[in-house]
Amino acid sequence: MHIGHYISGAAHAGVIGWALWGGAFRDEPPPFEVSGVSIVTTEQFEAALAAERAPQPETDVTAPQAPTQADDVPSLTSQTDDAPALETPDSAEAPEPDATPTPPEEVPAPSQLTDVAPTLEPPSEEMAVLIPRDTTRPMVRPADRVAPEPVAPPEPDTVVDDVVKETTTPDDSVSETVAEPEEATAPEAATTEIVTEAKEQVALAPKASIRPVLRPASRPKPPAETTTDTPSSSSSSTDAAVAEALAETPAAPSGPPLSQGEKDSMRVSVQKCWVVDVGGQSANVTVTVGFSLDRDGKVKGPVTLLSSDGGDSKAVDTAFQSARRAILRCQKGGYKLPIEKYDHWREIEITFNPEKMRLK
Amino acid sequence: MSSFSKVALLLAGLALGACSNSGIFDPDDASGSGTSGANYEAGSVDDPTSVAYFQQNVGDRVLFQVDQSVLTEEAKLVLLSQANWLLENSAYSAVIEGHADEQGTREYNLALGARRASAAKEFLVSRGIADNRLRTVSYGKERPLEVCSAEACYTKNRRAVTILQADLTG
Amino acid sequence: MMRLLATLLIGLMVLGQMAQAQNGPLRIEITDGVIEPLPYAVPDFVAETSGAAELASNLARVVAEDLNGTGLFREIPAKAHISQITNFASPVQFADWKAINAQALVSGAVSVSGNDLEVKFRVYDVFAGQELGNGLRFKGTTEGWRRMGHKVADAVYSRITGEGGYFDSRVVFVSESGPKNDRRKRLAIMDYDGANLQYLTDSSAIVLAPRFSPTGDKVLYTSYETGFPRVFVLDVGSVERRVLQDQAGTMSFAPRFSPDGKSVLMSITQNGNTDIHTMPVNGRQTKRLTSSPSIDTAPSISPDGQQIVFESDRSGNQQLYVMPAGGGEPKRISFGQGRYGTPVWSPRGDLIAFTKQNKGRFHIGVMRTDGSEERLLTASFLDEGPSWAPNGRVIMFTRETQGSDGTAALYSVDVSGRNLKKVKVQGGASDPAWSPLQ
Repeated sequence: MHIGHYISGAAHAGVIGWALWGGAFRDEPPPFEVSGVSIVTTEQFEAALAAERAPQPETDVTAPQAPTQADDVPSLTSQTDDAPALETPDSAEAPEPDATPTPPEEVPAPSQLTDVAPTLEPPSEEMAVLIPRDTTRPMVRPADRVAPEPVAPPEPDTVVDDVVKETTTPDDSVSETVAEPEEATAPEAATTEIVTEAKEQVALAPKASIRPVLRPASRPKPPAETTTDTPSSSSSSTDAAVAEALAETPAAPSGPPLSQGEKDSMRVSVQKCWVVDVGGQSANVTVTVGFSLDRDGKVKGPVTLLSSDGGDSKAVDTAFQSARRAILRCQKGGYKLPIEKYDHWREIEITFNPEKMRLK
Repeated sequence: MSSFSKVALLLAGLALGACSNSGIFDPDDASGSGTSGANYEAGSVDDPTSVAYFQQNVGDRVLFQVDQSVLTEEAKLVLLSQANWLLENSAYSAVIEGHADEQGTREYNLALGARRASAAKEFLVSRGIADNRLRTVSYGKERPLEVCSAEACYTKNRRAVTILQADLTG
Repeated sequence: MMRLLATLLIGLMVLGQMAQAQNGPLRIEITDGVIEPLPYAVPDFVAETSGAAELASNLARVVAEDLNGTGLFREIPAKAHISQITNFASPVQFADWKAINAQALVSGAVSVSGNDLEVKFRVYDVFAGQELGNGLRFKGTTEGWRRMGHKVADAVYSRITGEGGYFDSRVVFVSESGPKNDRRKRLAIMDYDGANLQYLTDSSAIVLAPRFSPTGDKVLYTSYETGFPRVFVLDVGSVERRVLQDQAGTMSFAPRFSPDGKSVLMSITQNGNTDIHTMPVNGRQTKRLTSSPSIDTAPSISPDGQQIVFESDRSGNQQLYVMPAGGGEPKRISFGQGRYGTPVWSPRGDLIAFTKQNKGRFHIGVMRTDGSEERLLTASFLDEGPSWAPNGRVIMFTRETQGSDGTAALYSVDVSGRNLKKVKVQGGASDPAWSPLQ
């Protein structure tokens, strides 16, 4: 703990010095993040949690509320219920939990690629990402789902899944491994913004017809399992100097921290599962939650609410539940993080800020 | 009705208005069923004291521009004829109905119809019709005359219609 | 210089790394998520007495229809379920529900004794493996089973969204029949989902724009039964009605209750000029709140009773204005293109819904109470007359189709602009007004 204090003290002194010096050179010191050196212990998390959220006992049905009257139910003739014409959701074909063949590598979204590869690859055809290059306005098409990346509607009998698969058929020719027939899957169709009726009617007509391409001629290369920590998005000379200087510095005791790319990949994994109720009060609440991961990248112990901003207690609770669902649901077999940097991701804090979503 | 015939009617109305009350158009009773020995059927379009005559020959309605309650020159001519007819046929009172086309919200159209009815009424009062013979009501967009959703219909629906009533209140 | 700065920065970063290596968690900010319905499961409720099986199934269906209808939830059909719930008290096999990606699970049990009906339910967060809130029990009669279903659905909705529900509510509206130029109109009332339709008046006189009292037992509306449009008040239970305002030479319309239910706002037209007035619901004296030669109409009062929003054409065309509840200088809040009318203050108090006309189209929209963040939710030949669900989350309105055979229907839309749909009503329908939660 002493070491921590020294480090913190030194860091703060450095920060202050830098701010003063920097201030002498410029009119306004550039803003910078100090969050990297603040220290919050697990114990503090727990304490904060205990203060904010009393544990909820699982009680038996004891009808805490007085039973509501039925005496003054209006004496209306009750009619037989219309047979509910339920639409079968796309997820009807639930994936069997255990019979899943080894899934192919996840198709990287374009944004994931940017940090591992310096040049932006065009979006893979398989994703059918429809971003017209010559317009600034994203194409608006009706889809029930709004997601960070637009996804064209899959072919009618495609099973919705996060992982894009091709339909495989048993090969007649002799092969060493017997390929099981596999249903084609694709991500559920999605737009990048809410398409209200009002927007839909003024939306730009597509400049080109939508290619119903879901089965590409060649499969995209899986992203290289990268362990690089070299910042790649640098452009200014300062950044270049930083990178240069960084390369010279000896490694910290427990190895280099996660690269921006690795962080981004974690972020993308969770945000895919973060369902925001944009019309609800919880969309006015930013929550920060904390949790621990085991070495397999699976959530260990509870996900706890660390802090919140905006909304009443119910809205905060709803926002927290939504964040918790995102983290728990998207872990699947465990978040994919470099094991050699386990010390850097053993504890994770994620801030879920829906502000941008409200404006979609 | 052509402009010419309207002007002719107007002149006729003015001429009649200048006559004394002992003119031939004095109604015998409120329903206009009486005759003065003229060669037309009582109450028919040809009976100058009949409701049907008022509706078809005098003109019982005036039209308005979009979202307007200002009387057009054409409307003023029709209302002038109405005023003269009402002066001649003092046994009638009238309710002026204001209407709007469907291009507007329900509440606003009620208020707009009321403005139109009121504009017509004020004109008639300014031409000597007693205020207590005239009442107004607005139907907003509730009672369109024409049902298509096009300007051809809307133009006929933006109207103030003078509905004659046998005068019971005096 | 760059070098110096960089070195300083590096020093900080290294220190930061060292600190983080020991104590600091990995910090990530997420600002982008997904907007999609939440998958959930509601298996048939458990019948705990003989003969309750049909009700147990029907109740689960009402709950599912209510939740599905919000557009916020997507039911995973029973045929995809791996485990069944046969005993309400047994522990839930969360793994089975996780496997089908059910994020929430509703379990319930029903027992019937004579006419008495008892319904219990629980809501689970499947991935967190815990119950949301505690189990709850409702008692009633078998006749009122649909309402029991709505109450369960309201509680489930509330536990998952953190907001009040709106399923145990009713809608009063104008039922329409006949051709466009001779439309017959009568007041009708129904459950929010279209069930249990009843008529409150006959069609001998035109009736318009009914509005519920804050307790839901009275309805204000405009009727032509005296030959002139006049505001009436009607008791929903006894269907007795009386005229509220009948001063000769005037007409009155666009009524709305104050939040305490004691006074009524309305428009009164005299000599062609329309102004906003207020009067006690049990009195006769009206007080004028606006006095301009313009059309001032469609008043709606804020839930705290402090302010009135209304439409006026004092600027030359229809715009929205806010003034103190006792009258006073109005402040214009709408500044966009086109005309704005029929503003309605949301029950949450945060938004104002309105009708907008622009370039030959009609829209239902919402804006903040200061006029900012205007958002149009719909567009059609003719949309008008928004009414808020009791939780301020959904808006119901009238949509009329074009042409000589055009008809009116009720539609609802989520305040986000999603989930636009037609409300199931037989025949034509217009001017919906949502009741408070019962």
